[in-house]
Amino acid sequence: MTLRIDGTLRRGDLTLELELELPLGITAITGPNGAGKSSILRLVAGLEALDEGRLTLDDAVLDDRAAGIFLPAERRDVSMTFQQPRLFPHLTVLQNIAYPLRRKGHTAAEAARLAQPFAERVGAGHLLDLRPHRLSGGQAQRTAIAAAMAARASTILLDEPLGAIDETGTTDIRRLLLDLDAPRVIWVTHDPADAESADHHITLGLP
Amino acid sequence: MITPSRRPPLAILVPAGLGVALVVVPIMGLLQRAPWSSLVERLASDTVVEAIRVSLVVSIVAAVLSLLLGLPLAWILARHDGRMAGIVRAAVLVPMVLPPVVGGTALLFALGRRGLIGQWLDAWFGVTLPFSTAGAIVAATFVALPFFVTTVEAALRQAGTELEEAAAVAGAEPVTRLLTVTIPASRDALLAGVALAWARALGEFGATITFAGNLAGRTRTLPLEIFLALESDPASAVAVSVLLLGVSLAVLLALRGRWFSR
Repeated sequence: MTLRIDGTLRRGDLTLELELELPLGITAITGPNGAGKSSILRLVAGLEALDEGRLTLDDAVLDDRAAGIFLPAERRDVSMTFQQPRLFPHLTVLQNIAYPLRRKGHTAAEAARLAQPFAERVGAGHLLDLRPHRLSGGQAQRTAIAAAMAARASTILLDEPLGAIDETGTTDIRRLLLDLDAPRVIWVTHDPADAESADHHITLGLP
Repeated sequence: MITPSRRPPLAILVPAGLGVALVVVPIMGLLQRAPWSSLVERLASDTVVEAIRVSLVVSIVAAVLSLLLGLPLAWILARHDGRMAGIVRAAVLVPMVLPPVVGGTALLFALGRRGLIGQWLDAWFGVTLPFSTAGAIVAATFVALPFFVTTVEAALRQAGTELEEAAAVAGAEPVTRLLTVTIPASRDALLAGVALAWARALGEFGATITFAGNLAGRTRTLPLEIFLALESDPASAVAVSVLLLGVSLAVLLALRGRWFSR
């Protein structure tokens, strides 16, 4: 169950040469701004494609331009949270958490029932019927984390999940993130303490 | 209350005031000539009721077509910045600046019985668009579509790709993303686009009379009815004009939240 990135990503001025193994467990990625931390998550999620080289999961190739292979995001067994939480503005908190379950074919009622425990786990149990514009930054990120958990993907990608939350509220979320059920968690963070608590740690330098 | 220090200089105030007058005075002129006492009766006359029916059918179908064709188009234009997208955008916007009578003429030579495509429509399907309600719908959609596309493209562009990415990672296929995220999240812009397209279709005159003609019960919409009645029954023409003025103001009011409150 090893995820490997071995290739090059070019975005404007930025050229990232990557040779990474992302094993099971929690891998923390740290490094300065512009080093490409978010780009690694986007590559794994299928939101970006490598310009050269390949991304593989064990024997399966997910991305290889030369071979004409690219598995799009919706077909990958991955869920993700973003630095600024991306909640669907027309859906309630519970419906946002249920969204990935709906995509797996659950009915609305079933998805809502399955989503509720995740809302409670992140401490959003009292917010179920609110729409995102009524939430604080921390509440929105908790909702996004619950949605990422509800998808039950085997890889969860966290892009600075605590960045949008003020200091006081982070302790319990940090504990929650270290205790996710997903086999593989990739956690981009600025905080050396998070990197300490992770199973593996990758530090990126500026390219 | 305008205090002297806040009042704009005369050199600005005078042309601005003339600009307002240019719009307001004709409306006052219309309202002053309106046959208020017989308004309802005139609007209920057989010919007007028939024109209202044609106008509603034509403008509503044109607005729905603008939505069905314009939404995918607006989405593609908002998400692509290449040369091709630029050319397509320019082409779609042409009817906004084209004299409608030129649009009607173009439609005639494209879709008329002897037109580029019209001859095949006639030969293969027995479809003749000119002088039919379907032709009036085509003409109205031709002029209304760009209003929908520009409104919705701007909104989709502003909304960005962030939510669509989040939906993709959550397992939504492209069409599902459009239906479950992009469309509901930009509902206000879609409604505004439909309202603008509908209002434009309702007022359409030049392309309709050129391409679809002026047949009572089939292609004679309210603007055509006004044009015809001006000769024979000016009071009725004014009555119908007041009706269309009222509808236009209602559309403007409905869009108010979008445009005026910023």
